[in-house]
Amino acid sequence: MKKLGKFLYDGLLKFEKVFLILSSVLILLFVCATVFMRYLFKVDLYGFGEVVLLIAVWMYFIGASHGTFTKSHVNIDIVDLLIQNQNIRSGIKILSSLIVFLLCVIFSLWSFDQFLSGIESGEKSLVLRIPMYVPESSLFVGFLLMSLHSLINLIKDIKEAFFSKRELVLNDEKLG
Amino acid sequence: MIIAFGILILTLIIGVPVSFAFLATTVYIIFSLGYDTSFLIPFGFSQMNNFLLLALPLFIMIGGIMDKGRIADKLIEFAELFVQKIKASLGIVVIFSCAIFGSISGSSVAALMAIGQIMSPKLKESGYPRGYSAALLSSASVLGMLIPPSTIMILFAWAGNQSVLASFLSTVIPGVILIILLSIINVVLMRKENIKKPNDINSTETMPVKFRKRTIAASPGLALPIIVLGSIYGGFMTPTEAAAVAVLYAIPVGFWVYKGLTKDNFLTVMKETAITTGVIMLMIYGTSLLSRMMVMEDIPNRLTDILLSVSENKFIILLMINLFLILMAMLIDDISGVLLLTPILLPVAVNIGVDPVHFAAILAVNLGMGNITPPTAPLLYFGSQVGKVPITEMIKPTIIMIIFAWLPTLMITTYLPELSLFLPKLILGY
Repeated sequence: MKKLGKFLYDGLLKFEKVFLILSSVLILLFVCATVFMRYLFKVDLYGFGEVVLLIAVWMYFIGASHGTFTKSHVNIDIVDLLIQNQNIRSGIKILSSLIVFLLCVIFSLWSFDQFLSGIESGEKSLVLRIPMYVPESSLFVGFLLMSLHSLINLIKDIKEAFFSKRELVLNDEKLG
Repeated sequence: MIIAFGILILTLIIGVPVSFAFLATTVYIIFSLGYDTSFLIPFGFSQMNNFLLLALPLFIMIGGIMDKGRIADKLIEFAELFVQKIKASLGIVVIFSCAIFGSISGSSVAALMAIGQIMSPKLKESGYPRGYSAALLSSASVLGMLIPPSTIMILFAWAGNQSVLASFLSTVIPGVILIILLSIINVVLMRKENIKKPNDINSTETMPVKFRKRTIAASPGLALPIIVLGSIYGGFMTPTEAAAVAVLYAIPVGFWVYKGLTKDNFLTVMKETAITTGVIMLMIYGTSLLSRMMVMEDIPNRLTDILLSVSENKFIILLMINLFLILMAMLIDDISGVLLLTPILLPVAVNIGVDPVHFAAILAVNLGMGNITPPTAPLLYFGSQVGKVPITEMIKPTIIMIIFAWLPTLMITTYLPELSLFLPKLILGY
C-alpha cells in the first residue's frame, strides 16, 4: 500500500514537471505566433488569446502546486534568527505547515463550489466557445494538489521534529 | 481590520509563505465580516486571467536563459571597457553589469546570480574585502528592478491600473542616480585598500581593437533590451509580445552563440519559470482578494484621513508614507510588497496629490532598499551565498550604501517628482 502510494505520488510529480515544461513552451510559441501572424500575414488571431490564457491559468496553479512540493513559496526566515530553542522552532514549523494545509483545504472547498456553479451556468468564452469551467477548474485542481503536497510537507515536518528530538536524546545518552 | 493586519504579520513571522499569509488574512476577513465567497473566489480568478500578466513568465524565462546562456561574461568584459582607468574599476564594472543585465532580464535575483557568480572570484583576486564585495553585488543587483523592463513595475501597473510603459520609465532616472552614487561610494571606500588591476589576458591589444572585439562579443546580448524596449516604446508590440519575441531570440543566442544553454538546462529554465510564475500568481490571487476587501472596507480613504489628521503638509505625509514603506519593505519581499501595498497606498498618494507614475518610482526605490535592509533582506542573503561570506561582514558596507546612496536616492525621488516624470512626459507625452 505504501509502495503504491509512493508510486502514484512520484507519477504525479513527474506529470506536474512535464506539464510545466510543455505549458511554458506552448505559451511562448502561441504569443510569438500571434505577433508573427499579425506582422507577416496581417492576420489577427483573436482565438489565440483565449487558448494562451487557458494554458496560462493551468500553468499558474500547477506551478503553485509544484512550488508547494519544492517549498519554493517565498517566506520570511525570521524564526531561526529570533528563536534558538530547537523544540520551539520545530513547533512553529509544524504550526506554519498546518496553517498552509488548512488554507489549501478551505480554498479547495470554495473553488470546488465555484467549479460546480460554473458547470451549472454553462457560460462559454466569446470566440472559441470554450466552457468557462475548463479554465476555472484549474483553481480547484491547483488547491487540491496543494492540499496533498502541504499534507505531505506537514507529515515530514512532524517526523523530522520527533526524529531529530530522539536523535538528540540518544546523543545525550551516548555522551553520558 | 487591525486584527486582520495582526494575523498577516503573525503568519509572516512564524514562517507561513507570503501568499498563504495573504490567504489566511482573507479567510479571517471572510468569516468575521461575512463576505460572500461565491463573489470573491471568481473575482480573484478573473484578475489573473489577464494578458499583461503573461509578460511575467516570459521575462522570468529571459532571465533564466540569459543566466544559463553565459551572457554575463561578455557583458562584464564590455562594461570593463568604460572604467579601466579608475583605481576601483572592478567595483564599478559590477554596478554597470548589474544595470545592463537588469535591463535584459528585469530581475534583481537573476542579475545577482549571473553577475555575482563571475564577479565574486574576480573581486577577491583583486583584493576587495569579501564582505564589501558581496554587499556591493547585493546593492547593485537591485538595479535590475529599477532599469526597465522591470517585473515589479509590471505588477505595479497591473495592481494600480496604470500604464506599464510610464511605470517602466519612472524608475530610470532614480536608477541612474543610484548607479552614480554607488560608483562614488565604491571609489571612496576602496581608495585606501590595496586593489590590484584585473588580469587582462588581452592587455597587449590596443584599445580600439579591444573595444571592437568586446562590443561584437556582447552585441547579441545587448540587442535584447533594444528588441524589448524598442518594440514596446515603438508601439509595435505589447510588453507580453515583446518579451516572447525576446525569448525566441535569446534561445538560439544561448544555444549557439554563447553556447551556455544545453537541452537539460533549457528544460530546467522552462520548469523553473512555471514554478516561479505559479508562486507569484498565488500571491497575486491572495492580494486580489485581500485588496478587494480592503477597498470595500474603505481602508485607503480611512488611512488617508489618519495621515491627514497628523499633518496636512504633503511633504510630511510623503515622509510618513516613506517610513511605512521602509518598514514594510524590511519585512516582506519586493513582489509581495508591490502587490500588497499598491492597492492600499496608491489611492492615499493620489488623494494627497501625488502622481501615480511618480508613486511607482517611490515604491520601487523603497522596495529596492528593503531588499538589502535586514531583517528580511532577501538580496543580502543571496549575496552572502553567492559571495560565500557571512552576512555579518556585509552589514557595515551595506549600512554605508543605504545611508549614502539609497536614502539620498529615495529622498530625491520622493521630493523631486520631475525626475520620475521627465521620461514618461518626454517619450510618452504623459
